[in-house]
Amino acid sequence: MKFYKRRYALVKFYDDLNKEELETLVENNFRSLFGVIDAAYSNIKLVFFKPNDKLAVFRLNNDYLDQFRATIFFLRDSKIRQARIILVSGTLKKIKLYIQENVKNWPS
Amino acid sequence: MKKYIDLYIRINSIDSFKNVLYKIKEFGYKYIGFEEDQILDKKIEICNLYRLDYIIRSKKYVPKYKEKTVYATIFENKKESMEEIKRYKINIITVYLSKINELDEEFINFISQRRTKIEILYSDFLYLNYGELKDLIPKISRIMKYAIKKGLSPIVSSGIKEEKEIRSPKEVAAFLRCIGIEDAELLLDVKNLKELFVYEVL
Repeated sequence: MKFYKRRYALVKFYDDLNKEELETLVENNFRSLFGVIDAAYSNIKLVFFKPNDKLAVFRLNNDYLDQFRATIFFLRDSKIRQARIILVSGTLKKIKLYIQENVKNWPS
Repeated sequence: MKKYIDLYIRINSIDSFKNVLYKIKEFGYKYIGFEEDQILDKKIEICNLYRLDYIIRSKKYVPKYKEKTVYATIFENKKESMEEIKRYKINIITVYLSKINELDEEFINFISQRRTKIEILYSDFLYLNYGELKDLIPKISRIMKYAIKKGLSPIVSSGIKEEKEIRSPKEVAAFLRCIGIEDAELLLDVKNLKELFVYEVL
């Protein structure tokens, strides 16, 4: 049973990262900026990953959308990483539709 | 649809400028600003190519193009900057984060009387470690809130020197909201320029 509204964020990243690296990068940056408690309640999870198109879909608690955006703003590890949120939606269906319309070779 | 602004692009080579503008457009900006330099005509040409509106930041008293030109300067220290603002009509004063501790309410009151806008560069934030961020964020938040209270919405520009420093306006606004600036998207909107003095021919 979920007690919060979910949002799905389609993120375009510009560096060569694998799934684990991206997930860790976002988690670590969020935790450094907002702390462990906010990180726990934000429920950020990487749900889709397409390395060829450098796209990822994150699921998160709607109340923490601004914090998630700020994390994308500050994304870095040993060097500065670049990413941007293309679309935020309440359903995964809309994200998939957007990807299918705008990105080639995405599985239907 | 909102028209986002990025009034300070610090790139002086034509190829890099072209790449950066392509990416800036991809990130959602519609209005940019750059310094008056030797490749100014090329920069304007590239802006027209990508259909981006622009302003030219001039340091010269007689700029090359009078239209779309604003007089911009860098904050060095309180006393010098106040003297400069007294002597010349300055539209934008850019404050680097390293100098933010020298800003105070007196300076904000002074510039608000002369309608000079403060500009803060978000690319500066990207190079700070978390300890430095922790120290600077309350100060920046206080200065920006005070400027807004005085009816002088600060401008938030990128100040990018490299392509990788570009950030989406919505992410910048979200960061500003996180540090307590309400209506942060308005600071990045073209409406924030309506009070800006554009160079007038005497």
